[in-house]
Order: sequence, then C-alpha cells, then structure tokens
Amino acid sequence: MRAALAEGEAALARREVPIGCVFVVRQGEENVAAEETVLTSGGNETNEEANATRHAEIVAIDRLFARVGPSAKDLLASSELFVTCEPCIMCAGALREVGVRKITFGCGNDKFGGCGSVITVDPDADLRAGLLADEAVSLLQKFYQRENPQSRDTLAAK
Amino acid sequence: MPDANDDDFRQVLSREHEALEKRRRRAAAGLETAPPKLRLALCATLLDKRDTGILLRALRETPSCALPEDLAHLRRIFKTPNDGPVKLLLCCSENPNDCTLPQGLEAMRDKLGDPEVIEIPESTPVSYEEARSWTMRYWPVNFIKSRAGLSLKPGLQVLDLTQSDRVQAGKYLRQVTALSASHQGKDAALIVEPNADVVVAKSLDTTTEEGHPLRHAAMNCINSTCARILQTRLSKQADAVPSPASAAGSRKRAKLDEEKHDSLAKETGDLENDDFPGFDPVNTYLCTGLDAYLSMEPCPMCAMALLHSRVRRVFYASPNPRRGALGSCARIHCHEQLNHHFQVFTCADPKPKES
Ligand SMILES: [Zn+2]
Ligand SMILES: [Zn+2]
Repeated sequence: MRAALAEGEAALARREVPIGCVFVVRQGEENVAAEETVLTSGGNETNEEANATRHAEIVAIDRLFARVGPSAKDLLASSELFVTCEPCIMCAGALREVGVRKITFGCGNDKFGGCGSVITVDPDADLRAGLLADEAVSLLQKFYQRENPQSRDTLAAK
Repeated sequence: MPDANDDDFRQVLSREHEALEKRRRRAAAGLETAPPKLRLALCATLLDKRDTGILLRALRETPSCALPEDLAHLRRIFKTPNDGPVKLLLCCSENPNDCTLPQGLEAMRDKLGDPEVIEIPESTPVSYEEARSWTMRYWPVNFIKSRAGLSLKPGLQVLDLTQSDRVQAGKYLRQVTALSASHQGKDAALIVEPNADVVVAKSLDTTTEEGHPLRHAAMNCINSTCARILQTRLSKQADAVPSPASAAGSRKRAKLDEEKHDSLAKETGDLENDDFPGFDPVNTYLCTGLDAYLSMEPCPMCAMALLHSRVRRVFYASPNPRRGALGSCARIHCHEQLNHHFQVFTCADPKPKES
C-alpha cells in the first residue's frame, strides 16, 4: 500500500486526482514469509489524457499489457491489487475482466464505488478495506484544497 | 430495425420509475388502470347539502379529522351522481368496526347521517386518467402532478424523444448493428455529435485481436474520441507554443489511437471528414454532449466509462442478459449518488442476440 500511495503522490505532482495502485504477485507459500513483486503500477492520468477512463487501475493494467502482451492476463489473474481508494464501478468491472479477485483498498468511494459503496460489481471478489485509509484521504484532501485547472467537477476525474 | 418508420425506443428507467411509467402510459392509452392500494376511512352523508361549508370548516378545525400528508390526493366531499346526497370524508379509520363520530365532531351529529366505513385509495394517482378511474370506483381523488412521480435528478427524468431524435437514433443504431454484423457479430460502438449529426469515433471489440480483455467496443470508442480531442487540442497548442515534453507521450498515444480509428473507417468504407463540421474538439470537455450507440448493452466497466466521460445519451440495440449494466443485470445510470446521469434507450422491441 505504501507503493500505491507513492503512485498517488506522483499523480498529485502531475496535478491529477491522487489515486495510485500496484498489482503485486506473491511468490512462496502462504503464511511463510512470501516474496512480493510489483507486477505493475499506475496513478490517475485523466487530466493529462483528457480521458475520464484513465484511472490508476486501468493505467496500470494497460502498462502491463503494453510491456508483456497478452500474457499479462495470466500474470494479473494471480496478482493482488493494492489501491488507495475503492475501485469505481468501471475499474471494478475491469478487474473482473482481467480476473483480479484480491483487492485491498484504502478509503471508500461513496460516489462511484464498485466494491460495495454504490454497487458490488464482482460478488466473488476478496475485499479488504481501510488499509492506510487516513493517508489516502489526506492525499485526496491535498488535491481538493488545491484548485483543479482541468475539470469543472474534480470528482469526475476520480 | 428494418425500417425508418420503426424507430421506436424504450427508455431504461429505474425499476420503481419504470412501473410508474407503465401505469401512466396504460392510463393515458385508455386501458384499464391499475387498482390502487386501499385503506379504510370513515364517511358520513350530509342530511342537508346546505351545511357543506359549515361541516368542511368543522373538519378542518378538528385535529382528529386531519388527513395524513400522504393522503393529500383525497377529496373531502363526494357529490354522488345525479344530484344525489353529498358524502364527507371524516377521517381515516384504523379500526374497521369503529363507526363512532371522531372526537371533537360531536356537535355536528345532528347534521350527519350514521358514519360508515368505506375503502379509499391510499396510493397517489400518477395521471388524470388514473385519478378519474379511481374516483368513479372508490372515492374522489385529485391528480397532483408534483406528487405523482418520484423526485428525480434531471438526468434521471423521463425523456420523450422528438421525431428528429428518433430518426437520428434509428439511423445510428442501424449503422452500429450493421458494423457489428459485418465483423462476425463483434460488439460495435459509435460516438456521435448529435447537433452536427456526425460520427466522432467508431470502434469494434478488439479483445481477441489485441489479447487485451479491456478492449471492449465502448472503451475503444471512448479512447478514440478522447484521443481525437486531445490530438486536436495539442496540435492547436503546438501551433502557438512548442509542445511541452510531458505532452509528447500522450500525443504519441493519441496518434496511435487515431490511426487505429482511421484504419477502421477505411475498412468499413466510411471515410469521415477529419474536420468534423460542427464538432469542436478544442472546447469539448470529455464526451459532454455526445451520444453513444452500442450494438450490445454495455458491461459495468463500459457503462461506467461512458458515465465518467459525461456522455449525453446511450442507445443500445441488444440487451445483454448475462452482464448488461444498463437494464439487464444492473441499472447503474439510475443511482442517485452518481455525479452525472445520462438517459438510456433501447429498441422498444429488442431482439436478443444469440451468443
Ligand atoms: Zn476507477
Ligand atoms: Zn464492456
């Protein structure tokens, strides 16, 4: 989650809604000190791309596909997502498409949340909420206190 | 949709609102109206019609006769047909056997016949026709427009398509189904600028070709549209000042997406004007004001992507009973807490696609 927050910080520096994520694979057996590798990561790029669908999760997934091609799907299916804010309905749908079931998020997303807040897109997802939520929220607050030059309604970019 | 005269669409509303609309339309068409939910009330016949005014005042001033807020559609007086006796609604009764005059009304006893228990419509009528029909059958009710529907955000309201809307929507919906049919039934999507009546972007599902599970038709179409908008904006900026290094990456991506779009346009034999007459990419915020046409009802990802992109209206040809998010499995556009809303239409008589 620290790495996801760092992606969020980076997004903030680019004047984007500061949400970040990492997809992680664990090697080794469960409960044994597993080795974690970051498969791919991303932060919001909605303003830069003038595209409201460029959320952190989509950006990270696209990056992996661009790097390794179609095998990205298998890699993602065995991965786990850490994201600073609850995935929205679109991203929750995308995660279901690529087969990511293990999702840990920081703060909830009561406007767009697709992991319980508005609807539950994937009832089979293994969800964990609230990890470092305060830090995710204060990152978002930093952004909203600052003026957002591109979007009329800053929430649109979430 | 074989013929332009068949352009008939059904708006996808929330389940609650859909039921309400159905009732409204049936009643307006003169079909039998839905029976209201009934409850018991106490009424009495006036012995002398000239006492109506006195009694109405007495009812107004007697707290135990007050009608609850949700029964504001009920009238107090029932003038029975052919100049027959006048009946008064005294109060709503909790106990069906209790026919005693409400407390505080005892002084009026000599002006009223024996109270009787009747059934009155508890539901609020949704149209004049419904109110009239209930009035005939049960007890006089008023149609109060402001109470008839659910209070809805502007984007969630029922929208009657104009004739020219229907013609345009029919045209593009046929175009998108034809595009899908000419590509082995792959999902297809169009984004249209409705005032200029031009296609801004046109896409197919490319999940198999690209080996990328997110490349659904609607996502591709949004990406194409945004790429075009961004590309135009960046080249306008480049004309004025040298482009900043940070924009180079997105410019490259925008260019790639645009090339993909053009190759599809060539492939489908439909070359569009690059200048988009009537469409101003520089001042377009996301997909504000644009309409989306889909051969198939979108999945949650695509539906929400359209919503995030501020699309104005969504039209789809076939429902997707397995995972459609705009009518079949979910109606995500009906959630009040979302910050943007669009209207969703589908064919009035959809033919489900076998897959
Ligand atoms: Zn999202
Ligand atoms: Zn989709």
